[in-house]
Amino acid sequence: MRLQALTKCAAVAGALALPFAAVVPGAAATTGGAGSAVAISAGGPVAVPPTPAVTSDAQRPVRKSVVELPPNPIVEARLLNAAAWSGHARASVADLRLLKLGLRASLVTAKCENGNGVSHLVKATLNGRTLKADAAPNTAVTVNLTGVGAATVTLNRHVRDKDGNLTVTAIEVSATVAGQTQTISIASATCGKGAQPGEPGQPPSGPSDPSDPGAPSTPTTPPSAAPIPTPITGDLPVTG
Amino acid sequence: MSDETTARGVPGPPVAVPVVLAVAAVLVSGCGGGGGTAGNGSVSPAAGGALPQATTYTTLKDLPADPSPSAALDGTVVHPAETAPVSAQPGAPAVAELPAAQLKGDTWVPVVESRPGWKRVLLPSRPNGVTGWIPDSGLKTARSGQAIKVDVGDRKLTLLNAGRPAGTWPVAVGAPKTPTPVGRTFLLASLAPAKPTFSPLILPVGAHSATLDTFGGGPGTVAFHGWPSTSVFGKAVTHGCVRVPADALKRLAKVPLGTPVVITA
Repeated sequence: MRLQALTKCAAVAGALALPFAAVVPGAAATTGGAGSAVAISAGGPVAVPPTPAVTSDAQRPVRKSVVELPPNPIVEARLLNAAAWSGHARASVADLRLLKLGLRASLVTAKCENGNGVSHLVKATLNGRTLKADAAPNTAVTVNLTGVGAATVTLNRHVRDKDGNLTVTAIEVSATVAGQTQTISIASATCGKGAQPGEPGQPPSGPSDPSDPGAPSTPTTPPSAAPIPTPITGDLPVTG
Repeated sequence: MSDETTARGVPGPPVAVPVVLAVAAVLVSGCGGGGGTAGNGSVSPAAGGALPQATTYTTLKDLPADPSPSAALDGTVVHPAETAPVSAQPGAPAVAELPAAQLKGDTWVPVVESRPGWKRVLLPSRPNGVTGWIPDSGLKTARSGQAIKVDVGDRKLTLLNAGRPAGTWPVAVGAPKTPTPVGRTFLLASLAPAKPTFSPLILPVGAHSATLDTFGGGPGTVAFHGWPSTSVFGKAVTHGCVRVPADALKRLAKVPLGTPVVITA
């Protein structure tokens, strides 16, 4: 079947691409909790639900694939793959095009293993400029969207949460247009730290990395005070 | 792609029909922003609007329970500017939607856990303590410095401000056959009945009676409210609600929506 053939093709492409960017493996491939992977998602004025998304703590990979991203105004992509298993996650996207941003890539992959992650780009260009295949973690590029605002493109974005889980996102776009923030995540893989003390292979970055400017999910300003409610005229039969 | 009206859905099944029509009219006429122009070409995460809405009227399946129902929360509360997709795990497919409004007021829910790009929040639906993950884009984040504790055994309510007691009152709690459910929930809405019968203000929370599937035509939602007779305070006599003295109600009226409510046995 065509779909399966395409999926296999993408899986092979991912397997071929990934060795170029070898992860320093964890000391032990023991359980690292659930892995999760998302090929593409977007939030803001144009929301694209995670497509496909998979979360699993099984010992064998759980895979999901989508041949083509459903039409939307901001991002085109084919052969979207996500796979996850205990302590591991992989995501890949082929034929990526974000035309409004001038971003193209023939293949985008992200992989996370026991708390270590890496991402990789094949034939990626931003407004005609070639992007590094293996950018350093949290490499940020600012793009001027003529007349409407600016966008930050973060390559190989690494964010570690307080539990030690790492999320590596191959390309994260954050754009502010007319006061609204649009985010697009391409190839994102999350995995737990696993049970290895010392973490020799940990990437030199984290959630507080100052070189990570476009992080909409980690606001640095403290939240404002929640509003005091104004009673709404109405009634709800409650349990007296 | 489905059209805007069906994609957004209409919250709250038991609302009277004319109100539903009015709400639908508002949604169609302007709530979407830009009056339906192509400028805000939102792709609804729930194409077709088939997902259940997280409201006090619904029961949500396939979503995780509150991991620590008796622990204190840090007071972070979020308001979705638009209907937010709700997933069982960060990045997992949405299985429900959290509308921007609850009981005609703004939705504010407390955050119990955060991951990059995602917030896990308490939801106002059954079962009690149901949580879900929502994308943190499009969320307004704020902080409530207050918390409400209800000790069912002692029949007392304590209002905390910055972690310190700001007032303690004797309250009426659920009778033995219709107990006030314990666990972590939150202030869901502030309602002023047009013709008050027993209280000028009803403050529903996210929890529901475990023994009453419906009550008085409602979904069995637990609430804080006043009571005409002061003799009930300190007694276990209600159908699950927490009846509070007038000065407690006055103080609770100023507590932000989404503020954590911890009910202990």
